[in-house]
Amino acid sequence: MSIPRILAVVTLALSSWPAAAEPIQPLPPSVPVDRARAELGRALFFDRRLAKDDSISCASCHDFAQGGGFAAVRPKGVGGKEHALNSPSIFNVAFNFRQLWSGGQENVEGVVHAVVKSPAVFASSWPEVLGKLQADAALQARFRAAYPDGLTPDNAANAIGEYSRSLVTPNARFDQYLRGNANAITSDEKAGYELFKKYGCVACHQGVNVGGNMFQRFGVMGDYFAARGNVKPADLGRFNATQREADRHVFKVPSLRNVALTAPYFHDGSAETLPQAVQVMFTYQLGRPASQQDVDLIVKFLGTLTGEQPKGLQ
Amino acid sequence: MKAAGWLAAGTAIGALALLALLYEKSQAADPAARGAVQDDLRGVHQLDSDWNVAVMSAKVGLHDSYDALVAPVRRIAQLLQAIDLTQKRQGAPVSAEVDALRSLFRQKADLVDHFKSHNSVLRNSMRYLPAAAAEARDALAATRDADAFRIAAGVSLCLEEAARFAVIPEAAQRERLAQSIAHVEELLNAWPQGGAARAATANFLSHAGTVLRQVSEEERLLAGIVKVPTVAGIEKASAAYEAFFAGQAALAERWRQALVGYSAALLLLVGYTGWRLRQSYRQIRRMNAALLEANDYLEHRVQERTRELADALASLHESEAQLIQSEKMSSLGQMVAGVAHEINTPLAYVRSSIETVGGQLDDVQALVHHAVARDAQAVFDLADAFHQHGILQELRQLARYGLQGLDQIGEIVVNLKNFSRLDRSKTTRFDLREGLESTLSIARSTLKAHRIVKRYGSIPQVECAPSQLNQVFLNLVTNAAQAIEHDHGVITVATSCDDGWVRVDVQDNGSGIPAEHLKRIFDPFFTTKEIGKGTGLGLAIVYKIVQEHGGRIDVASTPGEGTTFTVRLPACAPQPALQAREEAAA
Repeated sequence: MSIPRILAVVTLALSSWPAAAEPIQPLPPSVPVDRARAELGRALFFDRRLAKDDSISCASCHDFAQGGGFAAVRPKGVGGKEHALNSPSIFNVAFNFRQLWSGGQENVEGVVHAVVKSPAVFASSWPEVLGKLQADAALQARFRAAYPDGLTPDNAANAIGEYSRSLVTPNARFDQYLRGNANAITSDEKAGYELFKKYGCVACHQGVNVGGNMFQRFGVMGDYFAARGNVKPADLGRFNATQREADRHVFKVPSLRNVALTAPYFHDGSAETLPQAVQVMFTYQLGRPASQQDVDLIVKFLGTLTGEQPKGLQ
Repeated sequence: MKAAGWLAAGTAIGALALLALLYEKSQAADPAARGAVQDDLRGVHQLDSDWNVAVMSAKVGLHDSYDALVAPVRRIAQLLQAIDLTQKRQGAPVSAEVDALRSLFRQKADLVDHFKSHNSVLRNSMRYLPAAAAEARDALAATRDADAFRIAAGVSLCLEEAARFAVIPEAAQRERLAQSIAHVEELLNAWPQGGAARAATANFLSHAGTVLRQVSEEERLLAGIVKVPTVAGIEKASAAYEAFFAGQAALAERWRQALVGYSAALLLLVGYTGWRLRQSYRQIRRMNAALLEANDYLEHRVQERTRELADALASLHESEAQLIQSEKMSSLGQMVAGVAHEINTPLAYVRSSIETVGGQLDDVQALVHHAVARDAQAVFDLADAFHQHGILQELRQLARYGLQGLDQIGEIVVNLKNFSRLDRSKTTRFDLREGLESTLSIARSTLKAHRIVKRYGSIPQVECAPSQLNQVFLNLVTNAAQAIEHDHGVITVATSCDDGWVRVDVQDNGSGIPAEHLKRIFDPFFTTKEIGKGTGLGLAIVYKIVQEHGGRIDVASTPGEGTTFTVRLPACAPQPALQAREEAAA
C-alpha cells in the first residue's frame, strides 16, 4: 500500500470511528439497500397512482424541501381529508426502531400497507393500485426483473421501503464535530449541546438518530393533554396499538435530525417554532424551568443536526 | 437387437439413479446445516447475553445511548428467521420451538422498551434531584420562615433517602423515602405561604416522587427481563434440533451402509465385466488372426476358383457351339428329310414318264422296222393305232411332265443353294423376303397341310448372315406348323418396316402357348414335346442368332387361338439404287 492510500484509509477509519462515550453518534454515509428495488421504490414514491384519484403521492406529504416532512400542522390526504397526525420525516427512517408516532409499525413496508388503505392518505386499495400500475408495461417489466414474483403488494411496499431506507442525511455539522472536526460547530452551539446533555434532553434524544429508538409518555412530569385539552384518539399514541393502560399517551421518541426544517412540531403540530417546542419539553418531559438563554442555545445546537439532502442511491 | 440395447441402457440408467439416490439419502443429515443452526442458536444466545449486559449498563448509567438495547432485537429476529428456514428446509420438526423462542424475545423486547422509558426518566430525575433540592432549600431559606426551615430540612432528608433508595432499591428503603416525601408534603400543605419557595419545593417533590416510582418500576421491569426464559428456550430449540439431527444421522448412516454395499456390488460387477471384456478381447484377437489367415487363403482359393470358372466357361462355349452345331445338324436333318421327300415326288413321276416313254419306244421301233421292211400295211396299221390311241400326244405329254418334274427338282436345288449360302460366315446386305421365300419352299412338305399367307411389306435390307437368318425362319415356320393340330391352319408371314427396324412376323392359329411357358420358351432344352421328338434348343438358337444380329425376338400368344413370333432386326441405311428399284417395283 502506498503512503497516500494508507493515509486515506486511516482518515476514513478515524472519520467513521464513533466519538467515544458521546450519547449521540454520527450517521453513516449510506445504508446498504438493493439498488434495483430502491430504484423501483423511488418511482413509486413519486407516483400519484397510489392515490385513489391519482392526486397525491408519498412525496406530497414527505416533502424533501421540508426535511422530509410537511409544512402544515397536519397534511391532507385524498379529497382533502385531514390526517390526524403531523407528518414525520421520511429521512433516516432506517435508524428508527419502529415507524409511526405510535410505533405501531415495525417497518416502512407496514406503513405503506396501512396508508394505501387509510382514508386520510391514499384512500385506495391494493387491487385498485395494482390495476393502475399493471397497465404500465415498463414498470411491470422492471418489477419482474427485480423480484421473482413481479408486481405484488408486498413487493411494491418493499420497493418503497428500500428507497425510504436509502434516504440518509449524513454530514450534519454536529456529525462532523463528533468525527473530530472541532470547528464544525460554533461555541454557542457547543454550549447548547452541553446544556442538552446537562438538562437531560439527551436521556431520550440519544443514539445515532438523536431519538427514534424508544418510547416515552408525552407528559412525564406534567399532564400535557389536560393542559392542551381537546383530546383525540390520535393523542392516545401507543395505547391504540396495544390497548394497555401503561401505553396511554406513550409515543415513539422522534429523531431530532433535521429538526430545524420540520416545523411544526410534535404529533399534533402544536409547537410552531423550535423554541416553543423546547419549552414544552422542559415543562412536560423534564419538569424543570429553563432560562430563555438556555433555550436559545439549545435551539442553536439543534440547528447543527441538519444533514445533507439525501443523495439518493449510491 | 435393438430391444436388447434399450434394455441395457435402461438398466444402466436405473443403476446410476439408484446410486445417486442412495448417495443423496446418505447425505440427508447435513452436518453443514446442523452447524449453521447450532451456530445461529449460539449467536442468539450471545446476542441475548449482550442484551442483558446492555440493559444492566443502562441501569447503572454506564451506557452511552439506548442503541445497544435496540440492535439485538433485529439481529436476533434475523437469526431466528435463518434458523427457521434451515430447519424447514431439512424437514426438522422444531418450528414450534423456534416460534416459542420468537415470542419469548418479543416479550423481552417489550419489557426492555418499557425499561428504556422508565430508565430515562429516572436518570433525569435522579441527576436533577440534588439541584432541585438546592433550589428549594435556597428559596425556602430566602423566606426566613421557621416552617420553611423545617420544610427545607425535610427536603434534605428526602434527598438523602432518595439517593439511598436509588442505590438500595429495597422495600424498607422505599418505605423510608415514601415517608419522607409524605412528611414534606404534609409540611408544605400546612404552610400558608406561596410563591417561589412553594413552587420550588413542589418541583422537588415531583421529582422525588418520580424517583420513588421509577426505581420501583425499573426494578420490576428488570426482574421481569431477567425472568424471561430465553436461555431455556434456546436450549430447548437446540436440544430438539439435535434430537432431530441425531435421528437423521442414524438414518443417513443406514443409507450410507446400503450405499457402501451397493457400491461394492457395482464394483464387483464392474470387475466381472472387465474380466469378461478381457476374455472377449482375447477371443477377438484370436479370431482376427484367424480371419486374416483365412482371408489370405481365400484370395488363393478365389484365384483358383476363377481359373476353374474360366475353364468351365470355355468348355461351356465349346458345348454351346457343339449344341448349336448339333441343332443345326438336327434341323438340317429335318430339312434334308423334307427336301429328300420334295425331290422324291417329282423324281418319281419323271422316272415314270420316261419309263412310259421308254415303253412306248417299243412300238415306235416296230413302226420303223416295218417302214424299213417296206411293210406298208403294217406301217399303216401301226400308224393308225398310234393315231387312234393318240400315242404321240401322250408321248409329248409325258416328255412335258418329265421336263416339269426336272424343273421342280431344279427349283429345289436352287432353293437349297440359296438356303445354305456356302459363304455363310460373312455377313452381307440381304433382303429378308428372299430368305423367307427360300425357307418356305424348303419347308413346303412340312407346310403343305396348312394355308400360307404372305404379307410382304416393303422393307430395307439387313446386314446379316443370311444362312443363319434362314435357319431362324425355318425354325419359326416349322414350329408354327407343328403348333397347328386342326385342319384349318393358317400361317401368316409378314414383313414390315418399323422405325429403323425390319420386322418379320410369323403367326399361326394353332394351340398357342400357355402363359407360364411363355417365359421359358427361349430357354435351352425347354420343350413340351415328348423325349426324342425335340431337342428344346430350336428357339434358344433362334434367340441367340437374333441377339448376335443386334435384334430382338418377341412372342405373343393366346392359348387356343394362336401365336405370333416377331423378329426385329436393325435396318441398313438404304442404297439409293436399290431404293429406286424398290419404288419402281412397288
